[in-house]
Amino acid sequence: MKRTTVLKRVVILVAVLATLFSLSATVSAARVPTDAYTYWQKGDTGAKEAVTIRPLYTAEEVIDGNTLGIGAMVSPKYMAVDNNGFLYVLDSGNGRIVVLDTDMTVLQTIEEVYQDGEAIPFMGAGGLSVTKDHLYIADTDGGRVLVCSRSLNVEQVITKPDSYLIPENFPFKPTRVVCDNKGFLYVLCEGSYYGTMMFTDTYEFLGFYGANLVEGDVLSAIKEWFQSIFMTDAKQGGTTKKLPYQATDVTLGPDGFLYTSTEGGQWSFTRGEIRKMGPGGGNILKFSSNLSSMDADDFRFTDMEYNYNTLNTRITPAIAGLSVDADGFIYAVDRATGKILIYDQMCNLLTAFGGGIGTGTQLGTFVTPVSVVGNGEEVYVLDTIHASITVFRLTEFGRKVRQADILSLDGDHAQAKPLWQEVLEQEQNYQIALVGLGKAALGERDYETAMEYAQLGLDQETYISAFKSTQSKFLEKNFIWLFFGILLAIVGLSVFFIISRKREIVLVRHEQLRHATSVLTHPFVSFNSIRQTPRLSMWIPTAILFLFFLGKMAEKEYAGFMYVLPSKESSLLFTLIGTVGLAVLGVFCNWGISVLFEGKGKLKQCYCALCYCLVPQIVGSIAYVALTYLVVPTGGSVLTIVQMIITIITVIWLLLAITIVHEFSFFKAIGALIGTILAMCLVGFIAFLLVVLAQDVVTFVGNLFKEAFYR
Amino acid sequence: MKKQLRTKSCLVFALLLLVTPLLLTSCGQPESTVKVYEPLYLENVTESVVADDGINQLVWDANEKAVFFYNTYTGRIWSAIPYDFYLQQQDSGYNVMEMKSPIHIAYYATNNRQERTITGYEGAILDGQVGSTLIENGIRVEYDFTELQLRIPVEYTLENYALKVSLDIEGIAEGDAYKLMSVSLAPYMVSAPEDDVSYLFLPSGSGALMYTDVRGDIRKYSEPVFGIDAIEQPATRTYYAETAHLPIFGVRRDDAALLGIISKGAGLASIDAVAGDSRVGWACAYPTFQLRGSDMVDIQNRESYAQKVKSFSRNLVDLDRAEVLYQPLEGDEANYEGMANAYRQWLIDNQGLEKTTAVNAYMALEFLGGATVPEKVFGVSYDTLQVVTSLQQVQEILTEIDSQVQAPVATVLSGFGQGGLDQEYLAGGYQIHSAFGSKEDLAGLKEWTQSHNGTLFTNFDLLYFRKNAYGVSKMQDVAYRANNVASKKGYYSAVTNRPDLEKRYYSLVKRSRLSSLADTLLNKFGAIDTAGIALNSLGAIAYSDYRDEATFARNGIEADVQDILNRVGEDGRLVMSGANSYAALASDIIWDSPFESSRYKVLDEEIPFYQMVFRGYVPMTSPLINREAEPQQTFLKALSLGVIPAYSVSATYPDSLRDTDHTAFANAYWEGFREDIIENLSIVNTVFPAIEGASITGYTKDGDLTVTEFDNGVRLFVNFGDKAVHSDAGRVEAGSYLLG
Repeated sequence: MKRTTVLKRVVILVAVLATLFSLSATVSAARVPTDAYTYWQKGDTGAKEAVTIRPLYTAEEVIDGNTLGIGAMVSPKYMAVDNNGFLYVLDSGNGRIVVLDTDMTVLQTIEEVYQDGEAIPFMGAGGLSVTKDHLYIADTDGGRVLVCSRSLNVEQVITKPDSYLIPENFPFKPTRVVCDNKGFLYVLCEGSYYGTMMFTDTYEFLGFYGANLVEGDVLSAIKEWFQSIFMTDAKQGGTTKKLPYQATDVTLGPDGFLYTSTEGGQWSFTRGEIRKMGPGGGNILKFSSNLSSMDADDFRFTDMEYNYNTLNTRITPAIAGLSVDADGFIYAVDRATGKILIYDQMCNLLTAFGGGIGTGTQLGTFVTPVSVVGNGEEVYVLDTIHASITVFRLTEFGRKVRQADILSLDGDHAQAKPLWQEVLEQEQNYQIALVGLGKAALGERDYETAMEYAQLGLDQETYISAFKSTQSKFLEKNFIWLFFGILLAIVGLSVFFIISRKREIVLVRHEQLRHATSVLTHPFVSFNSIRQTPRLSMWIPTAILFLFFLGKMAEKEYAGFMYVLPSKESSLLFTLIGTVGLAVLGVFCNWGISVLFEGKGKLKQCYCALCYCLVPQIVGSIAYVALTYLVVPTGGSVLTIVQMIITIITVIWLLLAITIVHEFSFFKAIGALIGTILAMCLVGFIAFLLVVLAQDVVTFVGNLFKEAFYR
Repeated sequence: MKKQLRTKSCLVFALLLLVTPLLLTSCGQPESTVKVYEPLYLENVTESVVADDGINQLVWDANEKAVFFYNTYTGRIWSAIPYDFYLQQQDSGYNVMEMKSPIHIAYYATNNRQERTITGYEGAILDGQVGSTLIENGIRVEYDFTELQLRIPVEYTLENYALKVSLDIEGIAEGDAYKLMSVSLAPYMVSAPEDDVSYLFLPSGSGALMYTDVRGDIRKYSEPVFGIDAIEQPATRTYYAETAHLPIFGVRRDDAALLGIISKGAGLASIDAVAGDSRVGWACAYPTFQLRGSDMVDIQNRESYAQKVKSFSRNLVDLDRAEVLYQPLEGDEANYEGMANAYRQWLIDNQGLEKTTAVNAYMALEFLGGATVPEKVFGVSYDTLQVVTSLQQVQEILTEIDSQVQAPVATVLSGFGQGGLDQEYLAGGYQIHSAFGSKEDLAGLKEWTQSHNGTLFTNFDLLYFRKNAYGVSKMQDVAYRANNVASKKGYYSAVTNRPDLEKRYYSLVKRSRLSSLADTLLNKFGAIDTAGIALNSLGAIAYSDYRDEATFARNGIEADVQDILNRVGEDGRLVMSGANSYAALASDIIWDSPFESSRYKVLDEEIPFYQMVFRGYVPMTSPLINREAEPQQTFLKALSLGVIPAYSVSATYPDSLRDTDHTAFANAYWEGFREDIIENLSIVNTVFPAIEGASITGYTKDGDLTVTEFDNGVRLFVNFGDKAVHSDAGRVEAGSYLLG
């Protein structure tokens, strides 16, 4: 008999193992990616979701030295465009500049510039800039900037300035140069994290301008200061410093402002990769975060997720080139992924396209793109490894998007409306169009339509504006009815309470239920009743706990659009853990702590008491959800105050509950509460460790079988 | 006692834990069926002319181990060693290794799984390890790679005044140390010197030319015939590509051309090409046959990082031979138009291509029924079917179109089954879901379309499914990859280039079930009696199934699909399928014919080769115009090629689809394209009657103006530009056409 049992168990075990194994599968998949996409902005910098869209640009042709008939280019580094629309391509490896007209035919090849009749080559130059009167060459290898007239005569050679502002070991290797409308020069140098070097129109060095910021916080600063107290000089010398990232490109916008791009770290995402320099050197680029206008230093311009190449290696986005066209649209090229990103002045991503991640075998993909020039109709992208220029042309859809966006940004929503409608007809998933139509409707005072579009486009700002107007209108129309209605309700309730007190009317007959529901107004009575009731029903506190869970679910799922954006993800599990899970954990921890502190409360009583303390939370949830449909969010919002009050009440009620149920003194109750919280943290930590350990065991066993199977 | 029992139980458990992996090491791998390599005495043919069909001769050079295809009338010589090079009598150098090799092979070492390649010249010919025997109409040559213990037999024969080169797969012998992966046949047969006038024709998408001049880096091209194996699941995908729908390739040089047609084993093949290699001085195109499957397996190493290890199938593909036919062309036929004519004729003579008139349509409208969208009730997510277009709405839209333009329309219902466009259930559960309408609605729609000279198709996806139902389960009916893992396929993120782990995954149905599933479809849906059935995905992708040796490396996909399409088309039912050649031959209408190549930078020119082959024989639709970057330009291209313009249409756009990955609906909203569709249909209504049943004999492009010549003498001028242009038939307005 025993042998049979053992055998049975063995058979079952084998069957289970076999089944477990046969169900394992490596998860992977395949389907072609689409060309163009954009992000749906969801309220703040952190929440963006990519959606594929109809292309705004199509790749038309690839031009290289052979197609131009000038022989292959070698490591071309930069492109610039002059006031005629001619493209200047810096063919660094060949030490020449190729000038192309708007039809992509060669106008001129510049191989030397001249100073006093002597030819000056510029092999290994890194950047160039063209104005009406001058050609500027950032001669990286030569350690100088060549300022030339359009007839290629060198008027000035700028080398490393002699200034106390420049560190001695500063290597003057200019990679980019740009000249503003006042003739001031801005030079980017290799390895410089001080920002651009600024020169006057007479080529005097003024100083550094527009350095990138270092990400940090108060805690890290305090930590660093604290550590520095105990470090020797030698140790301090060995520490790593956090320095600003080096800018990769600098360009001048049509508005006369300077724009810079930054690559960021290899292993982390950066924010504020594109900056628009104000007079003080700070970033004046703003983005709308639905509820307020925020500094673009907090905005992530590149992809929200890592890209991967064909070797499955993670690639961090890295903006290498920047351009701003006459309408203020910003073109950025990502060297690592090969993508081109086009933003407007409000940091709305119009489109992202291109790609290749180092393969660049197809038209419209790249090996290592380093420079981009956009003029609206065309976008030119220079690939330094492939030594070619890819020309993208604006599609009809792209043209409509651009025109509509320009009008919207100018505030001419009425003119933009028909264009956005056409855009939406062709691409229903274009958030910017929905937002544009919302603003147009707002401008036309069609508030209902504005709210509808704003909700579709997740534009809380427009929604709130439209809602305010709708609300005002409603109040204006119905003020008298509302006033008398509220008055009647107050009077009615007051009369009811007075009468029910006088006549001792009991609304809730069940004693425990009555105590549970009256915890808001009579907490002492309610908690005392827990101590005094011999047989407590668990149904009532459990029902309260369940309502608490429902209340929190309602806050997440049914709060008004002005406060919470709709989400397609299920929040059930997290809410359950965050409400019921935490509550149950709290009960056990509190009971455990109170036993240590010689508390008198039993486990059941602890459970009841904690659940009663959740009644204010339930009321708070109902109030919160209702108010999210009625109250407009403002700074120091009413809802925040309400939530704070509810939280304070809950904490006080918890203290009261512990004091009464366990018969603690006030300070002992505080100690017990703190102890409960610490105990919950400890249990949570241990549970986390166990889960991680269990996962490791499962992975190990799985790999064991996999390894054996494949051998 | 209890203690003893407990101890015994522990021992048994520990034993099982140790033994089970060992047992499993021998699971899942079939016995090897490949011939074992043994050293053989290699015979040698000494005769020079080994075959003669009265026009062509097959000449054997026993010293160089080379076969020459010689036209006795024109004196033209084609060979695996280009004749001009052969005459130079070089015997050393990189170009010799390459150009004197009638085969290249790829193999892997069994001890370390490292893959390598070697040319036939280096591995066999240089050591004199080549045997030859006379066979009927030709010669059989055995390339013996002695050091690798691999022997590969290739037969060269004359057939129908063409040269046939056959790889005898069953005759391949392998040793233990090295295993064969692939064989490239006659790399330099289809070749041209690097000059400014020759070009290679490659079947990328609609067709493309690769010029043979030298300019900088070496240019390489490689595309699998019938598309990338759909069973493969690369971890990353950085681009998308068109499909090589036709198993052909060619070259034009001097005033001659040579067309290569893979007549057998096309599913195993990829077309490769090289140009601009100054070390060689010749550009070439050739087929490579994948004979063994491989896939990557994730194994975690000591540092807990996933390491990729390659796993190979034990046996070679279960096919007796792979064959390539080389068709020479001269004079006026020595160009890609001539190649198109030659290939079409070959299809007529050998594959049963006929002119089909069953479907006469001037426009194709694919109505999108619905999709599965996530909904939430109190935080609980669930999936629900969102109806986007009902049958009634289809009727209304068609009626509206008809009220403006009376023209025959091919209507395709896609995503009207269970799950909508999402392949939740195989073939949508073989039904039109009641949410879209009733059987009476469908019958009414069919009647209406037929009474208005149109045709109604219902599209079913017989390949993918997500849920176990309707006779398929993920346990038993899923195709397997070469690493013995069930296929799971998802969608690649445009951002990360990886399959999006949060999105749905689908399983690919195993190959051996396809036929029975088609029968099920006919039984269940056939009873509803619709006019036509579309199996668009079936004809658009090819895939392997490593459950069965017969389906390794996409082997047999052509026959399987053709068999299904023929059965579906019995009893006069109309069949629509994808653009791969084997499906095109068995369909009454081809869906989504390619309009572009894969646009690789190494390709120099796109040509409408696909349309040149099939136009006038099998009607075909364009890609979905409303989903293209420039819809109107795509319509003009469809017009210029005489291809049925296709649109996808959704009657509504529910808000639940916003901010989802159901992009098919975002570009298909009827209100957005209504005017374009009606206007374009009226244009087609004027043009198509003039070119009905006509094949394309010429297609030229001069700036923005294209001129298409049809075999009924009609010339069609289409202006793609934004300014009017003058042609020899008259003025052609911007974005318009002229019949001449």
